Amino acid sequence: MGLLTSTVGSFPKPAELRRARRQFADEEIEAPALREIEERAVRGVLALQEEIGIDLLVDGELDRGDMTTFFAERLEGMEVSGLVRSYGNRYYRKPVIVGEVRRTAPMTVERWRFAQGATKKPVKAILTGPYTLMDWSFNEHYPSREACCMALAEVVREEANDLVAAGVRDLQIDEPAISVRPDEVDLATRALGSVTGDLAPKVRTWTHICYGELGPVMERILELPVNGLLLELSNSDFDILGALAGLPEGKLLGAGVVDVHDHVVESAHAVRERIERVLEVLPPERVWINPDCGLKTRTLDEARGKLAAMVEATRAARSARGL
Amino acid sequence: MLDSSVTPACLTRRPVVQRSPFCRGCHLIRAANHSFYPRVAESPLDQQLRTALRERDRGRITDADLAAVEDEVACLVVAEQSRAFIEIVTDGMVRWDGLLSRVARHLDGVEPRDLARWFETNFYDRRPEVVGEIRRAAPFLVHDYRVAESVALTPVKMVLPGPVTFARLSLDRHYDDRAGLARAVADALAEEVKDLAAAGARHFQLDEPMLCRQPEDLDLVVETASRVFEAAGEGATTVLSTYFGDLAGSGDRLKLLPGSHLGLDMVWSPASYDLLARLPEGKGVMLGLFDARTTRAEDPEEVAVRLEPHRENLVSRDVIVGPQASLELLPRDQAFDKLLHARYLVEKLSREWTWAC
Repeated sequence: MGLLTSTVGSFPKPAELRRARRQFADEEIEAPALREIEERAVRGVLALQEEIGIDLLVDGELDRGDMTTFFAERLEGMEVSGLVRSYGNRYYRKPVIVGEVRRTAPMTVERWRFAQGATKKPVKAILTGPYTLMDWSFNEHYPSREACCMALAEVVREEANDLVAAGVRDLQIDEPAISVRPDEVDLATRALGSVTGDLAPKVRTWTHICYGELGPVMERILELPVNGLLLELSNSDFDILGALAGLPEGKLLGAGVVDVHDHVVESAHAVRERIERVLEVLPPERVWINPDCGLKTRTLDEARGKLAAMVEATRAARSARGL
Repeated sequence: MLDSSVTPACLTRRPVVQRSPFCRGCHLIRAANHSFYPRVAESPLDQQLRTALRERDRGRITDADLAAVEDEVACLVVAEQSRAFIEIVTDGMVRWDGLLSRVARHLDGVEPRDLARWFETNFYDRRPEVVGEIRRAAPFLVHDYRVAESVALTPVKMVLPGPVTFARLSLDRHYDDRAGLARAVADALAEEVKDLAAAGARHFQLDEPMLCRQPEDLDLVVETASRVFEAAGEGATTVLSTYFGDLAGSGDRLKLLPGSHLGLDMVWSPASYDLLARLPEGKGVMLGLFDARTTRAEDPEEVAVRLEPHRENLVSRDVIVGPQASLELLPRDQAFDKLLHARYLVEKLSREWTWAC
């Protein structure tokens, strides 16, 4: 069976959850109350994916404000800074590494268990990779980027092991920062390898990369030590498509076929055309269909519309191939 | 004189800023902001631009309302730099989404397209897509300059993307020739610089970070930056700024680079220190000594120690010190500290070194 569908991770937070997170930050509600609302929202996101017909589900990362800050708030040696702009009018609180980074307890396992327990479909677990955690943090402690990255690799490895022990079979380790310094692709590869090295036989590993100048490092990206690459393609008009023909045998591509930074909901026809472009390069059994990136910046209606178009287009592509 | 229709409210309450009590009027070493300054911070007042942009996007305020807030925030940001006793300020580039997209939006033949990040900063901008002949339809930075200048106590530097970096990071669907595209961008930017100079601007900066990665572009940078800087007029301060890398790959050809000052990233690698000896006599330097990618506040005393071996080389030049790159990458408090420390370094070196005044 080819052309399965999944998503990259984040979903828009419902208004009730956004309000609860604000109240929790202002110490107006306690953790159990927030947790109850989060779990309700996770059930909603799972139900939405089931209703649309997504094959491999995610929990929507509804307990995460930002993909690096979430971990910074849970790791020893990390703090959170004031507001920093990431793009346009979007800001986040960037992690600050102030000491030796240590994991004192699993950070995502319990939430993954909850999500997997709430659906019969498989749920993918998602972590931020060590290179991206390093690159998107202010380092005030480690003497070099390498030392910092490898220390973070160790805590991500511990978390990954716990997730696999809990039953995770699809593990995504996001590394969107991997292309920003071509001279550091070796470091990023080594760090990712130290996370996935022991996992390969037990679990299907993915990495997600987006919004970078991938051209100069594409060959290295294809060789990253994971089973599948989830790549943003629509936003950059499929400019790396040709290079994907070089994807090593046995590796999977998760093709980003809807643009998550565009309010316009693509038609199923437009998405189908994108899928067909990918299938000119790789056979369907090696291709998964995804959005470009997380959906958290979209409204719930936009996210629903984009995913529905994606699934409809994928079904049409499958059907045309008798899959 | 400002047109009353563009006079921001903040002009009626000029910020209270004093010159540093240590300042002796020496102009051979000065502290400067690099380019961007964080436009948002923690307090509700410091969030006003973020709020206004959101409200405009929701249709609750007009573009004119937003422009008034932008002017107000630019004034506040200028005042904050002055409070750090910085001698060359910017308007914080508070109206810019990134180094490329604001220019792209104001040039005919260019459209801001997909989101991309190019440097290790987790900062995105819209990649320019070149779809036709590049032309500048109208001045787009003169208003920004006038607003900033009207409240600044020190010179305001205007910053533009370098034509070659712009060409390198754009998607070219028209020229099919990087050099041709860079020349067209240079011509458009030269027009803008000419208008800014006519409005009174005397300090200009072109950002060419890609030269650190692509030393083979040096001749094209020389040609295009020269075109832009010529438009600034005689006696203007013109900085060719490079960062997120070093220029070691350019070898002795560094001396060809135009501008009154060459901006070097001293944080990135020790190689930039060695390059000082290769610069022509009398060439000014803008030294990016304070790391714009970490919240850690460098001790200016330690920075001074690193400069000490180069004292003889530097005291005969016009030296500008400051952050290595845009401060937009830091939270506001840490950005302010970087400027303050740059100014502290200036005070120290003004006192302790004998400058060839």
